[in-house]
Amino acid sequence: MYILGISCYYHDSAAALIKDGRIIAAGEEERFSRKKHDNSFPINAITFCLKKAGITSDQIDAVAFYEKPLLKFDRLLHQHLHGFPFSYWSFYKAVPSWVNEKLRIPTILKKKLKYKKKPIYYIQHHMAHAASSYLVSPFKEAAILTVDGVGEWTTTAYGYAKGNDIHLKKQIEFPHSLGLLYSTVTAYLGFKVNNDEYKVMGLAPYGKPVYCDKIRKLITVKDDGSYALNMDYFDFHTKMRMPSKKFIEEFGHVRKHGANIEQKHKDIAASLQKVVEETLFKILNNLHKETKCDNLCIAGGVALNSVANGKIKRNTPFKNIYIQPAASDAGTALGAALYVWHSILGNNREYVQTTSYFGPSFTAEEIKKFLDEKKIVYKEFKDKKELITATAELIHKNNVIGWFMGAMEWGPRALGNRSILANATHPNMKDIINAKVKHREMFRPFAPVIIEEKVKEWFHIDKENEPFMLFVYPFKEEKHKIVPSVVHVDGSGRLQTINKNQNEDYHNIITEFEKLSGVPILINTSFNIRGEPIVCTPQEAYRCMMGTGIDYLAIDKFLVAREDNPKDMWDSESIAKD
Amino acid sequence: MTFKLPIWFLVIKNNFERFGKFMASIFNFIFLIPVYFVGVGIVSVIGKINGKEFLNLGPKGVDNKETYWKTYDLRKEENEAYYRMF
Repeated sequence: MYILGISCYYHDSAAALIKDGRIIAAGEEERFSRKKHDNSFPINAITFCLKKAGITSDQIDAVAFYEKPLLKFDRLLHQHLHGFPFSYWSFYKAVPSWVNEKLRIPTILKKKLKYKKKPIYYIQHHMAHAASSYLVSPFKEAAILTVDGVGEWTTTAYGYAKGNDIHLKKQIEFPHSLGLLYSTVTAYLGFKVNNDEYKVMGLAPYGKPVYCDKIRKLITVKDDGSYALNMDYFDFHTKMRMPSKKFIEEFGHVRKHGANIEQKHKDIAASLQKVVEETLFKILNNLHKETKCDNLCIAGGVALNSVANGKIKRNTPFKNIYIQPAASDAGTALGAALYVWHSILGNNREYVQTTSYFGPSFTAEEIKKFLDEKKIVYKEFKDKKELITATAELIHKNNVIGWFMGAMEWGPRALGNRSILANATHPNMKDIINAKVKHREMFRPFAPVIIEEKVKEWFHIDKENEPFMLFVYPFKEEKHKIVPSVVHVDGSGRLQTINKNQNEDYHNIITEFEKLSGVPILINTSFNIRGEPIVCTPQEAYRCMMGTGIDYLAIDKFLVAREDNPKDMWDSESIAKD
Repeated sequence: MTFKLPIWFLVIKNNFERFGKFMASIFNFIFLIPVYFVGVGIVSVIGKINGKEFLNLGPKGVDNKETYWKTYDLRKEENEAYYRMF
């Protein structure tokens, strides 16, 4: 039985196709449309899913939608009733898309997919979040926490799941939202809402939490972790802006995008991160007290806060944590589909998601055809093993490599199939990658990938397997100087572990690098031009390499050197969008 | 064999699309004014006069509530419930 999960019309539209409870294909629309955080109907992602499964839309047995649109519309109306007469601008911006799209899901499915006379299941947003994590987790029972900006009305929910059943017991409702608190401070610090929250998280370790008292004026937190925002400081519930005048009176003027980041901004980021962590830990301690369960599944945009995630075990009694890699709204496409299969239709759980490689892949023949057609100069190796040996040597010589292998990742992280790899032992490699490729803020760290069998030698960590780069762990102190390019200012790293079963090529290149350097760690950062989504096709990978300072592109068993193809060089910075 | 549209045609097509969006935004702006100020406005004013709170804005300052958690009780329902958009 094929079930297609869809999330769209808010941010990060996505589609996921499951067959009898197993993930066949999944992808975010942005990777296909090339519009970052694309919120349109994910027709390209759906087309890919159907193609990968080898089926047509009339073979889909059910569609699962990631929210209840009318409940969300109800919340929107309440916002405008509350905000009248000052909310006309946001009313004008929102209503046309509700009338034309969001309230016409069956019509749109019929028109765009020719999907008719078959069921459409509407799953509540936070239930879709909960399902996206729990139903592919290794747990037979778990405590559940979902935290995001907002779904229909719910912004935070918790509960308990056993077998196929998920029960969300308690909730916090809009406008009180931990996610929107984080987003408001993100906007105040001059970053993009729903895009740059991770930058605030990266900025936090550079500051001191001296503004905690002021942040606590924004949010009242009870001992059981329940919280309420002081809405005098926020405008997001009625207007098109996030912080209110009172917020600005309290914290000073809003930092303009691109302006200097001062110590004050770092301190505010640190304070926010601290208060959010404290709140999360209170919620989780209360959740453990209620459920008496040591397994925890988290989902929602706030679950991408890898710094907080890395501290959960030290601050709560939970012993095992699972977070699905597409933890934000994209993941609800998968969650909705899984919920239909397991919870509504009552099918047993057998599948555990241990990798995220559900996107498009390309055969060696397709890649060779592309390279030949474009008259690209490249070297073809006998097999991938030879390419990996050669590429490891290039990395050891401090070249920056675009690494394009197998199927694209599902979720916001590049996890070794659409990655930029580099030498973590070089003291200036962070600056080199920033100068050559990423051009991003200097405070943002690069993430380490390590082979699973060596992780305990390098990190203070109580487990071997952390494959989705969703947890930050402290490096062992004696290792800081060995891999300076991936150690953040506070001595931590946003870790990805990899084993042979998850991704053999990726594991092999790190192993080969270790033979040369004695270090089983590489820098892994997403393979994209600044402001664009991660590359999806060979053409985008080549274009990205030639538009940046990436030295080589390793693509299947082919190696393309930037300097061998001068005719295609260009400057990606001229089109950078952020 | 694939057929490629000439660039001048694509430019015209794009400009028509942009023009269409521009016109739609103007008409939306005008037609939504009565919807907002009459439809939303009347309900909002009457509701507010009668003390209705459309959003729960929570506490102002210290309050004596023990918790802000609200009962959700969301669990498996009858199948028909999932076919509804609400």
